Amino acid sequence: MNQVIAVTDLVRKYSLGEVLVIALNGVSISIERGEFVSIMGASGSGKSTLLNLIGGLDRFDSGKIMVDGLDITSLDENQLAKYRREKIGFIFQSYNLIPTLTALQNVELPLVFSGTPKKDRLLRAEDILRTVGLEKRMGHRPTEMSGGEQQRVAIARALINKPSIILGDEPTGNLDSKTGEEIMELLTWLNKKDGLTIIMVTHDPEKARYADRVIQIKDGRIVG
Amino acid sequence: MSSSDLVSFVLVNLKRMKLRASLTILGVVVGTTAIVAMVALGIGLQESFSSQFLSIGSLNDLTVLPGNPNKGGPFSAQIKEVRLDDKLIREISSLDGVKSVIPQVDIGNVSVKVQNYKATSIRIQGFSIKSPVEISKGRLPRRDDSKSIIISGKFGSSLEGKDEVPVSSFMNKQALLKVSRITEDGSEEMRRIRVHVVGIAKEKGTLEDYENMYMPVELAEDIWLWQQDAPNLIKKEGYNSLKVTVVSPAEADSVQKKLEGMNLFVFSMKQILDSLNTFFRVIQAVLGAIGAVALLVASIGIVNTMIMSIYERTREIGIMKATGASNKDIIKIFLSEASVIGLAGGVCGTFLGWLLSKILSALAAFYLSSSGGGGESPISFIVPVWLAVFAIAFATCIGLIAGVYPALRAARLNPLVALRHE
Ligand SMILES: Nc1ncnc2c1ncn2[C@@H]1O[C@H](COP(=O)(O)OP(=O)(O)O)[C@@H](O)[C@H]1O
Ligand SMILES: [Mg+2]
Repeated sequence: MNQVIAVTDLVRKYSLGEVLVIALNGVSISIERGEFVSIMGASGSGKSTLLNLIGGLDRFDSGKIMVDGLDITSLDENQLAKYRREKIGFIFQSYNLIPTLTALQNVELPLVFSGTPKKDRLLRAEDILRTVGLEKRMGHRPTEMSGGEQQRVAIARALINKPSIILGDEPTGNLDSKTGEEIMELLTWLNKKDGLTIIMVTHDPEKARYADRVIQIKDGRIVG
Repeated sequence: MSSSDLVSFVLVNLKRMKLRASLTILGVVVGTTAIVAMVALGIGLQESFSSQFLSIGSLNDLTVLPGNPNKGGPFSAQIKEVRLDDKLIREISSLDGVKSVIPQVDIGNVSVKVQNYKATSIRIQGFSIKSPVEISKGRLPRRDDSKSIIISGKFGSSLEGKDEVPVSSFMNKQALLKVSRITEDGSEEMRRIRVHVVGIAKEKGTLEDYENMYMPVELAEDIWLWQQDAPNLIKKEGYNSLKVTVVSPAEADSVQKKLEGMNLFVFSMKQILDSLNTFFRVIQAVLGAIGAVALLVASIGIVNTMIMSIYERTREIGIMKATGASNKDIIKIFLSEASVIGLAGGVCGTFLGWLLSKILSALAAFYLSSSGGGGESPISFIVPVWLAVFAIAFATCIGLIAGVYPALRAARLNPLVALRHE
């Protein structure tokens, strides 16, 4: 197995006026290609912060993040955008679909930014929507779909660029437990079928069971 | 991002904020309409002025007088005035771009009678057989035949109180010229000259088309010298003035320069028209600037609309960034949106400006004709293609520029902060 993510001594501090919050206090983790890892910890323990830093959405104070052999510490804004576009697929708790676009258009979006021709884009987006079981919802807007369906669209969008890593921040947090389990099964299936690397934040032990490995985080430190 | 993706993005977003976008576009429409109508008025004024101006004389003609006013002043006495004689005429004739040089022998106090038609005061111009007037009918006087004349194209058409006489009815008719002079003792002497109308001059569209006669310069000189009672006047002092006709108006300036270099005073319609045109361009710029102020106000509206729409779409910007949009993509999206607002306003405004111009021109014409003005309306609004293109391009640029600050703000948003918005 080969390593896809190597995080070393990661520190992220926030200063809120007088108060200094240390969200991550020297985190080091290593993740292999094809692993399904879940990150668990209490609210405010730094789970989202870690995920966002791996995803290149934010800057950190010290430490190092290597993804696919690429040191993202040194990337400028433009290169970070390219990194997010090519290596990362995000899934959020609140789905984060664009309300004016249809399911198909939302899924297409990353390919719009990568300049993929319209025809290829459509074929691929339709294909992925079928994979996540939404062939009947392609022309629907987010408001016309259930939470589970919206999250499937978000998963399809995360997959469309064939990313190295899927990052999920409590993807089942807004869903009822049955729908949440369906989403977890879909993710597990994708992980097994395509060897997709998935890192998922959750505070629900039930959901964490689907992962190959669970990383515990407490007060910005890895505790197991 | 491809341009077609940008376009569909823009359309989706403008549709979403239909009312606000329409109101913003309306601001641009008002500004563009104002620019188009104002400049159209400026152009209309210029056109009507210059067409009236061109009826006074042709742009091909330069009037040459002895003496160069540029070299006047305290030393002017030292500069010998150039005599307008045959030698000079030959010299000018050989210049590049010169078509003909005719000594101006302007004779007053001449009346004429052809058939039943009498005119008390006509203008006589001489021409040389080598560079004759252009004729539309009949023939030119022969070399040995100094008693043949050409009449102007609208000769006899300004008869007051009588029916118009068609100019062709004078062809091949005898005309009786009566020239008078005042002798030294104060009595009036009269000389009668019989001439023959052999041709009709081509119309020039100027005042020369009316009561004007062209005759061989020898005859004209003869009449003039008799009238002045000084047989050697031309030999001694040269002609009063020369009419230099150039091949085309484009040659007028260079020929004028050369003539002035020969210490001659040159009066040219072209030069006056040029400075008149400069004046009108300034007027147009001022009128256009008044319209542009309205457009600038509209641009503030665009900035406002864009900032509001970016605020409302903060989260979407976060989503786009998280899914791989670069700052450049975000800038492109919002710049396009602002430009399309400018473009839409520009197109509608240009159309409205054109419509308004038509209506105002028609109203002006109607008002003038109903108030008994008659003739062509001096106020017309003219919208040339360049003005329409310019107005649309200008409005689009204003939109683009108004979009710069909002677009940069959108691009600079931190993706995490943007995602957490709302
Ligand atoms: N933008 C921010 N500004 C200030 N403090 C923040 C910010 N984001 C996170 N934090 C703080 O960092 C710590 C970790 O937050 P987070 O990673 O969101 O925790 P989790 O996702 O595990 O609930 C918390 O104490 C939180 O208040
Ligand atoms: Mg969190």
